Amino acid sequence: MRKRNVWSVGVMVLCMVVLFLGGAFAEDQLEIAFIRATGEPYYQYGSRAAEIAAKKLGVKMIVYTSNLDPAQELANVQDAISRGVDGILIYAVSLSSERAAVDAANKAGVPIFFQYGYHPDLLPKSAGFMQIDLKGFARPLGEWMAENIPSGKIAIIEGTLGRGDAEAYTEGFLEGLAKNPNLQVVAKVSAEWNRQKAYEAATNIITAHPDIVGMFVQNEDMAVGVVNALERLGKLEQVKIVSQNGAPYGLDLIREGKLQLTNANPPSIASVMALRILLGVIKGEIEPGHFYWAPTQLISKENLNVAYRWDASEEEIEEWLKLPLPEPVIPPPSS
Amino acid sequence: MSKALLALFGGRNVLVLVLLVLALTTGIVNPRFLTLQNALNIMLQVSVLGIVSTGATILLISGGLDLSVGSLLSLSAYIAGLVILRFQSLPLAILLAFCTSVGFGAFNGLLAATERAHPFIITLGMMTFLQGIAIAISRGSPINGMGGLYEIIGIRDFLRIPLPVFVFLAVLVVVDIFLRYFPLGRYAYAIGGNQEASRLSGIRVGRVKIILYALNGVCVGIAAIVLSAILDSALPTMGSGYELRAVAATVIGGTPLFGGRGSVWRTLLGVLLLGLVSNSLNLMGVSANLQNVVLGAIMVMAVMFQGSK
Repeated sequence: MRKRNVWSVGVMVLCMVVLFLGGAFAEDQLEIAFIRATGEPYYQYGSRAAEIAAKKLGVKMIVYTSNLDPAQELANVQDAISRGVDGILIYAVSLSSERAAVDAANKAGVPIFFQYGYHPDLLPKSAGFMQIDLKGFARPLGEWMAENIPSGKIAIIEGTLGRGDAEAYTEGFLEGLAKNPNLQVVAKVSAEWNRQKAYEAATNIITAHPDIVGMFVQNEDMAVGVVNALERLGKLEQVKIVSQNGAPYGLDLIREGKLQLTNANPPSIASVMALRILLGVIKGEIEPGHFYWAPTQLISKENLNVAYRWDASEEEIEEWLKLPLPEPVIPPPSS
Repeated sequence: MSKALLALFGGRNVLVLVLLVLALTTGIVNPRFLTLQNALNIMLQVSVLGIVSTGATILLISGGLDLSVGSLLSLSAYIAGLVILRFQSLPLAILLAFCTSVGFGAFNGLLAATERAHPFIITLGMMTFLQGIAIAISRGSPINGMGGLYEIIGIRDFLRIPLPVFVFLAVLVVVDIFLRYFPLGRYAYAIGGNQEASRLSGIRVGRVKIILYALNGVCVGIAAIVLSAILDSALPTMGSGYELRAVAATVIGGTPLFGGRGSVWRTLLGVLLLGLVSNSLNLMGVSANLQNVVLGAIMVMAVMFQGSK
């Protein structure tokens, strides 16, 4: 019993010391939580660029990872609020946890800005949403093929089906491709965003259709697998490939002439812009609750030098801080 | 010297010590950690894991194991979501979610009772099977909106304490009473301690196993309802990872993997440790890339001290 009392007193004293010391550490600097869905490269590059931008803007940034777990994402939002952050920038795991996250943030009076996962009901309760137009993103790639390949067979290597994004990319690409009736889509295969599966898919497609002249590969990770497969089969010269993302390895393929065109949605500049909008909302300079299109860029060998790089240097990010912010737009009818 | 240290800090004491050091360190870095609101956040964050871990404790005590709980949680929650979407009936949704979780739980027990393979491999197969069903019926799409469940359980507080925390504590108390005072609970310890001796003493081991796995299914069903209420949605993969975290929390708490010993209160300590570490690292602003390193190291340390007892 006596031992327990000693413990209790010790704990109480320590708590008082802690509270005293804690007060001494209080800071005036704005603090933003960057909550990313996973630690995959796309999000890593996004958080890295936002951290650099935050530092240049005199803002402290704390990065959390949700490991694709909506419960962990909500826990991260709650922890960020408990920590006393001034704003939350979030790449949501899915629509699922967004409502709970928005409610928690609203209750605490902390502005929350979403990158992707737009939902019309949540827009007025949030600092804003930013994402790409999925169909519109893939459409110019189809148009490029329609203009640059006179006729022949086309294949599409899709991401994971069932979430809506891969389907929307295909739909947009086909809309663009429809401008040339001499092009026929003869194969659509899902490689689930996976490089190895894309390698296998490309091999199978070439086996079934040796005269393929174009491929739309829905991300560059898969494009690397496709390029390897076509090189091995000696078909790389014959097949024109277009893809999406603008990742460092995608830009390398463009530089080497193995990928003809990519539509880039760099997480780096998007996160920097999202951070600037969120800070504007916090400071009362920007009205909350607006929708923005994320920056995108069509990149070919000709304009490779002006691409917004995922792994942008500090100097490049400093330049992005001077660019005009994206204008609010009327949100799409659904997510 | 080291023996004296182990005697002082071995077993549960070390967990309390680790929890204390973590709390104080985090409190120094960020005093908001020591607020009531943050304590409630931690309890809310661990409530679903706690409910699943309580079910896992019953099984581990009896020498069993169920790796399909994460998939079963996803499937049960998704079925509840589907019923709400199609029939707008919350009671029917909850009923069917429980039928799913208890039914498959009992089925796992039935398979384990045959003793043709270790529950690890049986339930590993069931994990894949149930996850497959969840993905097949959902086609990967989440269900958003759980027909009032969010308002009833998800965001409701009682005495400023979130309702899911009460659900977790209720599950803990009920399972503790079951394990201490009900013959079936005592049989769980007996079977986990020595299955053959239990059989020879007249315990119908197979039947008890089926019931214990079904009870684990009840816990999974409750967790599914609570999680889908908190998130106001159902995803076909929302339970993914809970199976291993539940076993980790239970073992860190001090219930051995080989059965015969353990209690839900030890599991509470394990669950709190996992929740506290995650919350502390977030509040201290530890880099997301380093968090898993720290979490893993603390888990290994905790288990090593438990093993030394």
